[in-house]
Amino acid sequence: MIIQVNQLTRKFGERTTVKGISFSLVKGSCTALLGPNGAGKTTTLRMLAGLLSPSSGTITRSGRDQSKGRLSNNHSQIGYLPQHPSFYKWMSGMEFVVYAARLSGMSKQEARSEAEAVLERVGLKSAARRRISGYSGGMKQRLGLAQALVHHPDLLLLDEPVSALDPVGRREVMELLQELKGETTILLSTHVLHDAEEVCDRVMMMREGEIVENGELSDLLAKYSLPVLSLQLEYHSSQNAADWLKSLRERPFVLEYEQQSGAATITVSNMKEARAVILSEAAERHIPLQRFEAGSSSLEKMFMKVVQS
Amino acid sequence: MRNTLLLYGKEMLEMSRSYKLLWVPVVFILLGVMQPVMMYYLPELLAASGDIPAELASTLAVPSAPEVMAQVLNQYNTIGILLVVIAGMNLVAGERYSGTAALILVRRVSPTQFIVAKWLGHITLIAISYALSYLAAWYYSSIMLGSLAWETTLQAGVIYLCWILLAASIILLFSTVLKGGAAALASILLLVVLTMTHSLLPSWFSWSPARLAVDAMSLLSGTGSVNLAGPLLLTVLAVLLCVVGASYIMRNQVIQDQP
Repeated sequence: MIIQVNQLTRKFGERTTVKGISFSLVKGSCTALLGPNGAGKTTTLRMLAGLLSPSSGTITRSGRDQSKGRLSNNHSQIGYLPQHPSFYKWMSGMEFVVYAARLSGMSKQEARSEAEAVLERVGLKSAARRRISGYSGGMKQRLGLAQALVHHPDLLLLDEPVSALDPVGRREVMELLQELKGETTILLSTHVLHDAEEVCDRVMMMREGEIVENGELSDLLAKYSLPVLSLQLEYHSSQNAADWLKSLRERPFVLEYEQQSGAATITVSNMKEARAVILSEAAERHIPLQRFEAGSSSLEKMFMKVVQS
Repeated sequence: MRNTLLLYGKEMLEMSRSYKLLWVPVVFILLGVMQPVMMYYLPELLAASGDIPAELASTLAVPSAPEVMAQVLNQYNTIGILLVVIAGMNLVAGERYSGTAALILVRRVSPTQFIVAKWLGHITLIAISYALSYLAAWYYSSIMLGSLAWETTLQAGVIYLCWILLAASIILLFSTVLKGGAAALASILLLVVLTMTHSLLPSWFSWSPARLAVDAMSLLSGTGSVNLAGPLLLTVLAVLLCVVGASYIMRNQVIQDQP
């Protein structure tokens, strides 16, 4: 157990942002902290990183209570990436990462070689000697990741690691996180569900300062899977096909039917039967199906369901 | 210790890259040199303006070198202290509110190391600036206005240094608690209160650190009694209190991680 959190609470004046949450992270796991904006994700991560002292509750890291202020000098290593990291703008990227590594206890040579390796890994090798003041938003995010990784932390806390990146950058960082999964324990917060689905094996959902769902991704998917079929016709399909799509509403296995132009979402009572019937009919009548999806709701729907309930 | 040195190295590098290591000494030197030069040329300037009655002009004598050095210290006491405070007002506040402190404090860095390094950096800057400025004032006074007893001049300079380092420590403490501008204002107020209470009720506040400034001046001009033990002890304690207090406060502070 790399970290154990017990009844963690944080109040800001009258408002309670985090309301007595408890959880633990297993070594080597990758957990996504999911929730809408204002759910308390960032506050939780900041408390875990030791930048904010909890109003009550305890954080135990490797068997040691952490919540007694920031006096720990010998604690196990944390890598932390804030949502909008800010750096010393007058340093170069390389200088900052070396500085960060040395403050985490590395020798000069070690820090230098590790910094070079990690900057290459995040794709900043060519910009490493430039001043940070000239970096773009995406480059700063990568530099933030580099400084969080350079000292090989045993716990990596990432606050919205990809939300500031363009699609290409996002892709690269997600791949990097996939690689890191085996090496260290990761806790990342996001409100983009797809990201969580992609890299994490555990999901914690927060809403208004409370953890409303916590478990293995596969378990949660099974728990929240819905007998839903979704169909989509090709864009310019014949009247014939459209009529057939409409006629599905009358079938005995349909519980709920929703149609938006050429697409239909159907909740059924018997998934097996419904799938067999629809697919065979579609084949028979040469219906130009563009998409057919059966079964489990994606994390997206589950997220909406958990968050709204 | 290792971390403190690393952090201190970063402070010095930052000050040199932002040219703080240049402009603070330059302003200080100008401040110190201005007084002897002004005093030396003042009678000539007044005479040249022509509106001064001859009787008055004859009473205007060029002051002696020790007197001018005491006036230099008086200059430091107003503009010099202001400079020390302004140069240091974002010492901790800047990093705490911009979010750069967050990335440092999640590492194996204790708030005490962070504060001590900040303090050492500011002390270095101020001590260098002050020393250069004082030496420059000394040099100009001695070549323009006559010789100075080097022993008393050095003594007075060192005593005054203690007072100015106290100001540098006070701004560190306030910069930890408040944002830049408010920190500067609070420090100035505290320093004014220290000076005022001492000058209004000198017998009650004979141990006040503000006494150091007064004593340094009277040492130079050779008037008044000099009693250093009490004020020096209290100043050292106050400096320690500032550093320890700032570390203690930072330990329980909310560290913002974004601007």
